[in-house]
Amino acid sequence: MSFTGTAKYHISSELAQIVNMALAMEKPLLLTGEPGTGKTQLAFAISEALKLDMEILRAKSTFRGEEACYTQDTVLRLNDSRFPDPKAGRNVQNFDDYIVWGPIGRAFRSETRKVLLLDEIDKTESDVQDNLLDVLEDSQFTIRETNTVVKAKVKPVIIITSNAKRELSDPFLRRCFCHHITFPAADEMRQILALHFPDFSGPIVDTALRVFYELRGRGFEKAPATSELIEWLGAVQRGGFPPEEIEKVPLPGILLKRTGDILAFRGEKRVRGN
Amino acid sequence: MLLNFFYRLRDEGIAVGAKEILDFYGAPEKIAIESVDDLFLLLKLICVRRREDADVFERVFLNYFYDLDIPAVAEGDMALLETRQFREWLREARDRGEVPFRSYEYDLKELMKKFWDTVREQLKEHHGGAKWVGTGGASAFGHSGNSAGGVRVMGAGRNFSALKVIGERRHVAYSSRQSLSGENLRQAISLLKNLKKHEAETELDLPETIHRSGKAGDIELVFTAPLKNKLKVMLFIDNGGYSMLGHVPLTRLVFDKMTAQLKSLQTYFFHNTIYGHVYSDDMRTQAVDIQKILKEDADTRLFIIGDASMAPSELFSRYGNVNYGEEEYEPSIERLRALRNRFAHSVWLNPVPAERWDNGFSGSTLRAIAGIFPMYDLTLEGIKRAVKNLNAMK
Repeated sequence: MSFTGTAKYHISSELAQIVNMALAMEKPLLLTGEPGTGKTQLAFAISEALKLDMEILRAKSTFRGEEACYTQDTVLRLNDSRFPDPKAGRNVQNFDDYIVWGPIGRAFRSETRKVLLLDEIDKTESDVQDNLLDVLEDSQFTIRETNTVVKAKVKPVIIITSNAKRELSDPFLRRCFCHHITFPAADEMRQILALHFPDFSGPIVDTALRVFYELRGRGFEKAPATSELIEWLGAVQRGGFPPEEIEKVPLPGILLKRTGDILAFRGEKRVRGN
Repeated sequence: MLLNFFYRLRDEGIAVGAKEILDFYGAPEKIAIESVDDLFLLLKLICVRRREDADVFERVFLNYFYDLDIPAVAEGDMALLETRQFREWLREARDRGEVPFRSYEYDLKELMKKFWDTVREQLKEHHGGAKWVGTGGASAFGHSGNSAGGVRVMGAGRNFSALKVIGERRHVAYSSRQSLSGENLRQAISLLKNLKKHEAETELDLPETIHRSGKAGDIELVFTAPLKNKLKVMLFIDNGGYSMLGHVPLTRLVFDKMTAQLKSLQTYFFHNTIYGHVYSDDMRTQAVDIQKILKEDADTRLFIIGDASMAPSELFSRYGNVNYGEEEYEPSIERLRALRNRFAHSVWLNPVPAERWDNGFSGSTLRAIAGIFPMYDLTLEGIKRAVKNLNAMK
């Protein structure tokens, strides 16, 4: 099983080798990097290329960790105990009948190998990360109420992403392979664009790339990233702008998202620090 | 064996242990290591957890497997001149007559460029030569470095080249000892966001209430602390005096980022040290009485940014203020003590790197202030430790 990217996802040879190492070593792969470097997309690309189903956990700051594995439908159980419904097929004495599996639970109980994406794990508190240690280390978790261990039938491919909003705990990091995706340089970006705009080349792409990296270097609050560039080029293509128009950055609202940045771009306000 | 490599990493401050070593020796059962580039990726994945360690790892790797010793600074950074590697290279280059013998004939920029060119030259192709920036054969593999411990060291990777990747120095700006820059500051400031106040438990925790009621068979109300970040921060910036001039860009960067991230930030300015007044504007015209500041919520977090460098009399003497008309009876050091007594969560951030705190004319005032406030330098590591200190509940 080896991963080399997909039709829409360009992968550097370094990252491809890292993904394959993590796959072979059955280690969770933790990807860090600024937004727009394709961290989350990588998980989707792996799932597509290796034809594996996905389970996605989108982390929130109020997240407690357990619900990633399972939750118990307490209200349903309370209701069943007061108003039993023999046709429902649930036994109120039986805890297992009221378990609702979370993404990790579903991935572990699956008969086939799945890609398990833990997206933006840095949004969670550190005790949530501690709760996930068994999941990463041994591909198992414990149902607290009945003290049963759920072990993965087939170890899923675990991909974790982090925007480095918060430091991750040391024990958590120790159980992962960690890789920082740096922002693609112009050459690599050209290859990425070639995947998305096969019939788009020459001076237009050159100008667009130059304008794009120049804008990135200006120190905006939210610098434009890959996804913005792709959307922008798509819009430029549909708008039929000639290359000399691109130089003037038409439709800046696609590249720049913050009001302050757009004002600064129009020259109405200086960018702080420049 | 490669065991020494792990010990070298430990010496350089990367926490690797038995688990990492076992992981590494277990790897060949699962994957084929066909080149030194594969080895590089594998070791990196196993050993490097944080971006701050990545540059250290790459340099140790380069030193161990290629006998190249590159300094821990980014290209263009003047700190290069102080590194051992640069000095050794300069001595040898001078002996060979490649650079002028007398120091006043140096063009520093030219010299630094020459050094980095040499490094790049070496990274391109590993061959014997006289121009090495190296350990002079002290590494385990020697100059020709072809094989050791059953691992083939030479042999180019098929697609990906460790040497090329290391040569890009993509992580050097994130090294812990590196001073802050726009690139790594985002990370540092997000640490500041970690500052969190523990609140009274006033919010009904619905899921937990249902859960426990279900278990107990009776209604059981569970309350929890609201997840609000009611943090108050005051920032004091030394923006006067010649000694702070060189630190202005760095200080401003921290200031900008803190203003952007923290909603309840109040900023005050002072010159060299704090007397009876601080100023709410950077031109220091709007005076704010220090007594008013001392009445602020004692839970407020205090950051003071300054180089703590001044004439001793400015800090210790009565009427020590150098600004005409602002002299006062109370010596500045007493004001600093009063601030510290009021605000237990306070730190002093110094743009001067910690290594240079002991020397220079600022030594005595710096030490005295460091005796009052916990002092950290404005590096990634320094800010992290400062935030850790502030987060610790007292």
